[in-house]
Amino acid sequence: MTAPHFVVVGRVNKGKSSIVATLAEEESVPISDEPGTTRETRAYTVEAEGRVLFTLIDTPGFQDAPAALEQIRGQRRDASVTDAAVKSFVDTYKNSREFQEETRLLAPILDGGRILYVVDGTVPYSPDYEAEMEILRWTGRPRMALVNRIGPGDHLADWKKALGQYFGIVRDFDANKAGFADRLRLLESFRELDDESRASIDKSIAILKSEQQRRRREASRILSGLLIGALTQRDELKLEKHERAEDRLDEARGRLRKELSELERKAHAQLFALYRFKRLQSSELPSTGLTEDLFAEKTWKVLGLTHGQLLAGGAAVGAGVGLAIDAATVGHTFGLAALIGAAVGFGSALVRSGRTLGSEWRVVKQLIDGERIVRYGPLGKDNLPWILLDRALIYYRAVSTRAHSVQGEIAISEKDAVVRDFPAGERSRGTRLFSQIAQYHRDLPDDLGSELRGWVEDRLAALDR
Amino acid sequence: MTRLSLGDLVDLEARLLEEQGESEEIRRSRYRQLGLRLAEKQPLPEDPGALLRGLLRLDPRPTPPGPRFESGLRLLHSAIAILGLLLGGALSLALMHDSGRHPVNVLTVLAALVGTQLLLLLLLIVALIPRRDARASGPVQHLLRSGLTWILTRAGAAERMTAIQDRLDAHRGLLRWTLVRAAQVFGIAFNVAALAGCLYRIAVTDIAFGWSTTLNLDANAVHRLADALSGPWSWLTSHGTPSLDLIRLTQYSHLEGKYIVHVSGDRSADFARLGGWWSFLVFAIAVYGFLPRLIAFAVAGFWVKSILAATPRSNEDYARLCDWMRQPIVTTRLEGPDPERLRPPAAGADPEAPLPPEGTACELLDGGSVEQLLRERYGWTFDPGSTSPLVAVVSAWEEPTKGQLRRFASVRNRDLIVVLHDPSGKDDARRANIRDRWKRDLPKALAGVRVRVETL
Repeated sequence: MTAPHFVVVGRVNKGKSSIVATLAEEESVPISDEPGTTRETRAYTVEAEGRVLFTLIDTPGFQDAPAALEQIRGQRRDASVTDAAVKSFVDTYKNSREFQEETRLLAPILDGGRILYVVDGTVPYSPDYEAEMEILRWTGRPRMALVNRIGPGDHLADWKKALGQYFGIVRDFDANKAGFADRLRLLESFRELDDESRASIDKSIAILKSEQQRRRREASRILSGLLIGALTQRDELKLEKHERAEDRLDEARGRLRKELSELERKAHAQLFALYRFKRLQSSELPSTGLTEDLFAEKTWKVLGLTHGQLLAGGAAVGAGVGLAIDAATVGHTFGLAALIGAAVGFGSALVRSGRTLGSEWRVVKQLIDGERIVRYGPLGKDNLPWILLDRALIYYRAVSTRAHSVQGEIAISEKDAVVRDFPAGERSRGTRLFSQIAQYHRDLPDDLGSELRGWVEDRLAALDR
Repeated sequence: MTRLSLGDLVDLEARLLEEQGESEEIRRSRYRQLGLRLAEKQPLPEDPGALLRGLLRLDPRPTPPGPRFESGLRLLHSAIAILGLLLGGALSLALMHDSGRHPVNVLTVLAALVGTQLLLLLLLIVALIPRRDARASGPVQHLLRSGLTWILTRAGAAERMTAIQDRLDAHRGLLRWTLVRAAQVFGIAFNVAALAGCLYRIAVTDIAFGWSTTLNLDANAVHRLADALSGPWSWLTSHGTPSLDLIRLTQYSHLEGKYIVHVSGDRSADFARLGGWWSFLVFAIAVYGFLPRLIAFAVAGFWVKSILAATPRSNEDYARLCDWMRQPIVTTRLEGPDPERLRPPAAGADPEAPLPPEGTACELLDGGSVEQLLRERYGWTFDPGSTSPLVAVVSAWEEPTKGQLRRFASVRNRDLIVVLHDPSGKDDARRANIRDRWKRDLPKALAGVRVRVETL
């Protein structure tokens, strides 16, 4: 089973490199608005454990197809052997400065590559593209046309009509907006190019699908790890005999905040790396309202649950406990326990909402000489995990749907906040889990960690849908 | 579902501890390689327990702590079993010792061998109540944990083992349950020895039992107590329950130095009947001492096993290792050297051609369809044979390719006006960039010719 080569060709600056970057999930592919960025052919091999799945070859764009076609026509000896004429053209000009781009882009096609011809569907079709298409037709290799979208405007119908005369398969593919499903659909259409590459493409599709699932699972681990870190975070300080715990509260709170911000930054970086955005990992995050400090007032305003949702969550958790008691008494408490539980849950959520963030502490060890070990934290049980989750989910959605051809910052806004739109049942479940986890300082039981991860994965799946 | 052994789990935890601080990329690559090696021998099992076990067998550490932990635990079991045997044996032999001066006080034996055990049973039940902090707690568990740590320290695995022990409890209190099971080994040994000691005394000596108390207890009350205690085995045999007669007969006064029912000074009215308590005592020790410990041992053992079976599925660190072993690593590799990023070429130096004034006769190249528009916009006239400025119309969205530039190669001694035309009239950033590139590239391609780029 030989891995297929796809040679991405087209006129200059029509998004060939973008298509390569998106399909290969490779952000290092040089993409520039400047035409002619790709002077040499570059092969990007997509591999699984050293076994090549497929290769994408980025090529320089056609610079003078009409003249090249004229030359090819001139070299044609036999009316039926068009590919020989193309080969002869490449051989003639391969060491010449003339038709440099054309010979470079045709060489890998003649070496057995399949053709992916890229045009920009946002500009009108014009007949001067026919020379390029004719040359490609003459190579006799399996070929497909991709209508890319570089800007506004829509001339897809005209392009499809024209391309249909030269290409058996024409696909609409916006390299900068293509999500995983679009990429997969395109790969599936590669199967139709020829029988030879079908098995290899099928294998690639299966591997990429399972990789996508693994990424979601791994993302859920990263996010649940962040939440557990935030909820179980504590800071222990040794207090002198004369010191009060309150005296060191600011110091402890400052340390906890710093630690948590670092934890969040790491989690985001892991998320970016998981989706193969290493440059985003090391570069500055986009400067939007969502990148404010975790503890900034604005962050708490636009992210997380609303005050009402937090109170409702508290009431639901309390009611759940009460219901369990009602069930245990086989209904002899007439639902009173659930009612009381809801009231207590609501009340305690109300009390907590009035507290300053990170004001909890307790003495964990009384030393003989009057000194004490005081444990501060966690910073907050109620909205803090929701805010962390909200922000992480926004980044998750941004990177999991971002094409690798897109340059620059992540485009996110406050409108992307998601947790407020969770179904009420999911908010209650989240509140219950956060509340249970917050009771632990370390050694969180496997079951609880696993339940949280499963819940986060469900939320990610819902986002993906 | 494959169950890991305790040693396997310790080895896995040791691996995770060792790998702390290593990059995920390296770890993932390592585990994938191990997965591939495992797959060479057999298809990778779906069951995470089997997969993790396969991993440990395939890639054992030079000095795996698992076997040491297991042997340490076995040593702890042996030590406390011996302690239990010694204590149980010694206590029962002491309690059942009949010096001949006074009978063996049944109530003392009951209090020491049954009452204490019932109390311990109650404490055990309290200890088994699920709690938030799954780590070993309480004095007995602390003692056992210290004992285990001491043994493991002697085996030379101190530092790692302490950390691993902490991690074990994250698995639904695994260490706590392991120590609960160890405590039951002591209980079982203690009761076996107590029973053996009692039976020995009963078999080889003629024990006279009696009961005495300062409390205001009469024979009826003691009978009710004995009757209640013997409830669990009363269905089995009538010999296991002391009769009211026996109880009355064996009430003993230490002051008088004789059984109360006999005021004449006889030591025994019916010597054979004085030993009648023995079956009740043996049953009581067996049922209230030995049996609960056996059940607790089985429950703790079952719980430990169920934790060991469930952990590969419920622990996220292990699930990740399984993922890594199973999932191929998809990468993209650039063949050949990373190309240099090109710098945009510098702009041409030739001055821009002036815009021909209205009424100028120009030559029009490829612009037939927009001739009228050009006339209206610029007021030019078009004369095909003119040597005046050449006006060429190109699509506003097309880059200045070599082919495009070649079209103007023959232009000499006249100004060239390139009009970028877009019928939609759009003028966005992209088109502006294309216009700039025409302005930059044209003068370079046409040295000595004044050029101008216009947008229509």
